[in-house]
Amino acid sequence: MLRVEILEQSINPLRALETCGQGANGAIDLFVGQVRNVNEGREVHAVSYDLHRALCEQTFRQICTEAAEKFGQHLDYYLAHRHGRLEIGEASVIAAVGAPHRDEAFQGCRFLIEQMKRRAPIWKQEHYVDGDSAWLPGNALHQPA
Amino acid sequence: MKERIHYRMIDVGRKATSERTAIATGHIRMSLETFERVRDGTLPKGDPLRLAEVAGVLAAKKTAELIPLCHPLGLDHVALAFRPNPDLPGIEVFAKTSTAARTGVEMEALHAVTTALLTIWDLAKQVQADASCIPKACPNCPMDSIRQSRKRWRKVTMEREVVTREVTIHLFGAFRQPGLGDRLEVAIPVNADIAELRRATGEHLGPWPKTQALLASSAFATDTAVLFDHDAVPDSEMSILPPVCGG
Repeated sequence: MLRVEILEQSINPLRALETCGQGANGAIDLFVGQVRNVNEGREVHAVSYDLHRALCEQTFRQICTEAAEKFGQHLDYYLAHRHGRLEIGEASVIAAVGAPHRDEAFQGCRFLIEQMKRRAPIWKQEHYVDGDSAWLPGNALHQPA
Repeated sequence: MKERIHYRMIDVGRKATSERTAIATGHIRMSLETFERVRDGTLPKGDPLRLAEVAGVLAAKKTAELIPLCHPLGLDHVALAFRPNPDLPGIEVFAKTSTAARTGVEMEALHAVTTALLTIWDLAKQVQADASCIPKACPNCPMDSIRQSRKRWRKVTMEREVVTREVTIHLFGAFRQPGLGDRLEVAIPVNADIAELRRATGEHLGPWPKTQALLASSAFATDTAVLFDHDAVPDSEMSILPPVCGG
């Protein structure tokens, strides 16, 4: 199975396990990214995610399709990201892969999360304890001329 | 001997104010060589049509100062349009004026056309004289049949509208600056590529200097694909995507 989601409310890891938990799978690797209370020495009390929904869902699906070509069509892939404002400790992203054996599950899951960070049109704004906010730098989707 | 009144201005004080629009047109002929340089804006003195557009607007505003019995009035709008016509060869000039007043606004439209034509000639005559194509033209600028024309205005402005179009660009992440909102409307030439869209977007973002550096590292995209500088701008709405940092 292949499932991608953009969520306005909190992410439930059980959704990932349901997607990846078919009987043929002996392994599920589940990655959860959560909001950290400090970044580059500055105290963070919340973050906001902005994203381009249509393009984001398409990119997630494309990444999962590529993973299926690389690690196996019979594996299960789940990729979900939050939209909006999140407090410290809230899950922002979940990637999961279900596979017959752990090696493909680990590799596939790593592929999903790394590709997502590089390619998905998502932007993160940190809100600092001192009242300031900043959009974080990231990976350019095209090379400047 | 009784003193004679030679001229008199019409008293329009009792007329009701109404909304008025006038459209005037005229054209100037020239050799094909001059025509191409006028059309392409490559005359030694500069681009005649852009200058003529400004000249026409200024002329409309000055009409009552130069035409003795013409009433001064407050213009609501003046617009010029140009149609290079290789069949003349020459340039057709159109002016549209509008106001709410007690008297008509056609003198202003005619004055705008006349001055725009003279401005074109002023820039073109150097090249045209060298070419000796219209040796008798110099004392009387070769423009003819300045007249009012509503139908032709519509045709020409419609032709002009095809030349540029507006693109909606949705803004994300660090482009969400205070006062900027979540989208831009940017005018670009039809058949523009992404590089041109990027330049036009940069001009729009002028008042937000922080966004200029970001623009160079951002990608333009539709809802289904990221596009590159040499790609044509599609008909759909666009988004501009700063460098991404999900997770």
